[in-house]
Amino acid sequence: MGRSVVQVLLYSQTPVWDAPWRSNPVAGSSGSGFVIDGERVMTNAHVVSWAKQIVLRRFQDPRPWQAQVEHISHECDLAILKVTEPGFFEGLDPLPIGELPKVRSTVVTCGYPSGGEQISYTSGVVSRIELQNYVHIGNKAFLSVQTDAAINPGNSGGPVFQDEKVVGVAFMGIPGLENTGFFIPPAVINHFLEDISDGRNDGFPKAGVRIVSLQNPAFRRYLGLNPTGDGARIDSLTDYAQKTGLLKKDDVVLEVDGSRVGSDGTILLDGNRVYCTAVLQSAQKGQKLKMKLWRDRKEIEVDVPMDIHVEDANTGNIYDSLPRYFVYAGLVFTPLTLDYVKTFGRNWRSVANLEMVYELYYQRNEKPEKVRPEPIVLAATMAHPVNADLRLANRAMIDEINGRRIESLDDVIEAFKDNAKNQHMIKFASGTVECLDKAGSDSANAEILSTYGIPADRRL
Amino acid sequence: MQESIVRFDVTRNNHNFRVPWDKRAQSISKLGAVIAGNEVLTTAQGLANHTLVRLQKGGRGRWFNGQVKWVDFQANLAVVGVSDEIFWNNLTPIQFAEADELRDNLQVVRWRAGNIERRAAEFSRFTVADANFNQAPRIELKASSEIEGAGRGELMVSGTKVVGLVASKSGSTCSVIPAPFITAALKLRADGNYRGLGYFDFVWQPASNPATTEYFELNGPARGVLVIKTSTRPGVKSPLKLHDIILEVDGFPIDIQGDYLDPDYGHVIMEYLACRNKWAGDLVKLKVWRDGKTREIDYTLPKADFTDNLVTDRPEGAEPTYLIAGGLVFVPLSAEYLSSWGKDWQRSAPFRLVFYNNQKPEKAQRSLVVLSLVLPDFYNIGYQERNAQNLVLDKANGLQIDTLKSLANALNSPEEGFHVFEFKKGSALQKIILDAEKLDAANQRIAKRYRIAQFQKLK
Repeated sequence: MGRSVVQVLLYSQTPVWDAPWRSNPVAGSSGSGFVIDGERVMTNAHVVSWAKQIVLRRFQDPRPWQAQVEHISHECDLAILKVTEPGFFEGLDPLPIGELPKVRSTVVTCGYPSGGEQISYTSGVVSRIELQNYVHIGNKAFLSVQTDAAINPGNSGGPVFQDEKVVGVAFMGIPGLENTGFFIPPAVINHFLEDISDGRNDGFPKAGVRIVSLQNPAFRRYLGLNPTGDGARIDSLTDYAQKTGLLKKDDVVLEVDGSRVGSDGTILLDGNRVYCTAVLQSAQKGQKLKMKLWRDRKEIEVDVPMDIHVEDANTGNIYDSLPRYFVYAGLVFTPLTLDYVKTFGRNWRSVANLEMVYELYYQRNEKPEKVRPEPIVLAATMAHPVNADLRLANRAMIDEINGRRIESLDDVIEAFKDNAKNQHMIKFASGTVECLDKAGSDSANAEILSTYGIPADRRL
Repeated sequence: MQESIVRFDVTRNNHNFRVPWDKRAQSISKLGAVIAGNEVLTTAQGLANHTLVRLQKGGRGRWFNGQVKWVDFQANLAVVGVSDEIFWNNLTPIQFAEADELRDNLQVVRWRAGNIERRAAEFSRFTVADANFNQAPRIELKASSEIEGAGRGELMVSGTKVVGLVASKSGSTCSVIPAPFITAALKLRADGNYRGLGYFDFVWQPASNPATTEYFELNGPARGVLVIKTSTRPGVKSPLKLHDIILEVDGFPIDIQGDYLDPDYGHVIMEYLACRNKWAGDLVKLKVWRDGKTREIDYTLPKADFTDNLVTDRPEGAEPTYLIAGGLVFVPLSAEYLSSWGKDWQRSAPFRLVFYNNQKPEKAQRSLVVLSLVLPDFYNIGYQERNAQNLVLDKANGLQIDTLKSLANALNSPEEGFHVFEFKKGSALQKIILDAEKLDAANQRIAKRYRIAQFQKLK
């Protein structure tokens, strides 16, 4: 089975989020992958993100093979690679995807971890099965299997075997924890494969509800339920779920897609208690999930449409998509994203101003009507006499430009274009005001771009 | 100086606003200076919630009981009396320095191990103290000195005159409350006319960018500052308008950085003009640029009292208030509560709570009540996880909650046998239900188990 496991060698280049026309130096890294049906190679998304060149090496074969990403899901950290050159898949049997392994059963990992050149095997037991935050995307949790089989850098994307079948894709460890590796279970792998079977990756749909435990006897009686029974409570809904109106606050979720929901919000999945969103995530885009609810002291059933919502994309890591920006008079405007605030350093939360953190993480839940679809920051100011008098010149969120509320980068461009006054007026989220001389700005623009080597004034 | 400088030994209750029923006795030693009328002047620091104040003269010997007769935490000044006549024998009042005598031959004086210690200090500059939370602006004299551990009311002297009290020391820099400020405050107090410090409740930014002043069509040379918030106080109608440019305050021209030239103290920030011979309630004349014209505006200085803020800043010395319902500990969202996360509270306290300090109160909810922690009891099972901490109340039993008192009232009218707590939209947990009938029994049990003498303190 090791013959079908390949090494993935990558050269990648990431953008500089606060100087968005620039790129960081090219970096080399490696991972593992394995052959599945349809002459495809499966690996982790993080193994091939921001790829400039992907080379595959077969088991004990010195020849380098060039590969391309065919599908990639940064959400669930999986990718499919294609090799166009004929002959690569010769003698490599596609590996079948198996079932979720049992806790305490033995699994074997296989791949090309750092510390040597050759293929390496490790074995261990399945420690536990739970929802875990997937660090690649950073803001989503999916089902994940923990094992004490060693999973090291380079193992990423390699298969985890049980009984000659792939029962997982090794993908991460948690810093500070010893003897714990994590792999992506068959449910998530199969979801991805089914998703892309129509040629596109739609992602994981969401119901838009926050389900919390319902264990206080008084709360249960208040809702007319048995003080110690099953069912967890919908505590809040996203804006879109609220608008659909199918689910309501204080609905008690009794069953999701046939699985009984406990008072702590978990369901029983192959003998493991896992949080019920694991079932919600099993749906494909556009599917409906049957939910049995307790509402107004009656049991009802609703078909909940499961759709893709990317409203929180800017709170997760973004890959393979170069940052949008607009430069005017040396002022660099770019969307407020997690990737942008991470340029402040590891402790960005204590450096970023409060308005930014609020806009990124709280506004949507508290005042959805005020959310800016694409909040914009002044990332930097490329010094020039025309902008040298600005006191607030970077790391500031924009509220208005020339009286126009800025909700996207396009608004910035339009706001500078439509201005009858002799000055441009920028109002920051903090209330601070800065102005630019319009005529001077217009004439300095080209010079500033060339002085600082900015190839274009915008990327949209 | 030895006949004028006395030692203090203060015992006070130090409160932990996150465990509001908990009192910890703390003892502080500091210094003070004898002033006319058999009184001792000291800083207000350390006097909040004092339980016993003792004074000692001559640096050794007997301690006398004192009474705090006057304290203003905003001004950082206090006056203490001693009723035992013997104490005043051989003590003489200090002489304060005038504004033009504050810079030369400075020395820090204190009692140390029974002897007078005098250490040289060198004048550096006058500054206006940084505002932490919503402190009124205060003029401070900065002087550097090698003296160790100062900042407890030592006297800064020049020859035989007192230049001020040392309020704090950071590195080698002493911050001194200057004598002219002290004498002005003491005089008003003697006349029964002390109204407390005022401050400017508007927010401005420097108008140093010429394009900005051109945008607002300011004629003439670069000067003034741009108003970007007309008032930080709730529901106040300010005589200022957004984007007024303040050109002069009480006749002093304001430069583009927001400084003015003070005849006594040199270039200092304009905030100090709220305190320069002015007190709460006094009028300040502002000259502003508005709509292409200059205008004179009368601005009345509000009292430096921040109890109206959304994040309330109660007078120092007030004991923490709280209400415990079934193990749920509710406290006001206050400056003290946030400060309980330490000096770095802006970064270490929960973000959402900190951000309220940037937000204005709404009419229906002028202040906020927080569920700060849950004392575990099976009565409140299901609410003991971390997501039930530091939630801000919206309603209780259908009533909008802005104070502990309104919460106590709401608890008098349960909804069909239940207490319904609703938290602000966006909270990690938005609803908690308690059994109303079993609440009293639960309160008794929890108070006993956690040894809490009182399960509510509303004032």
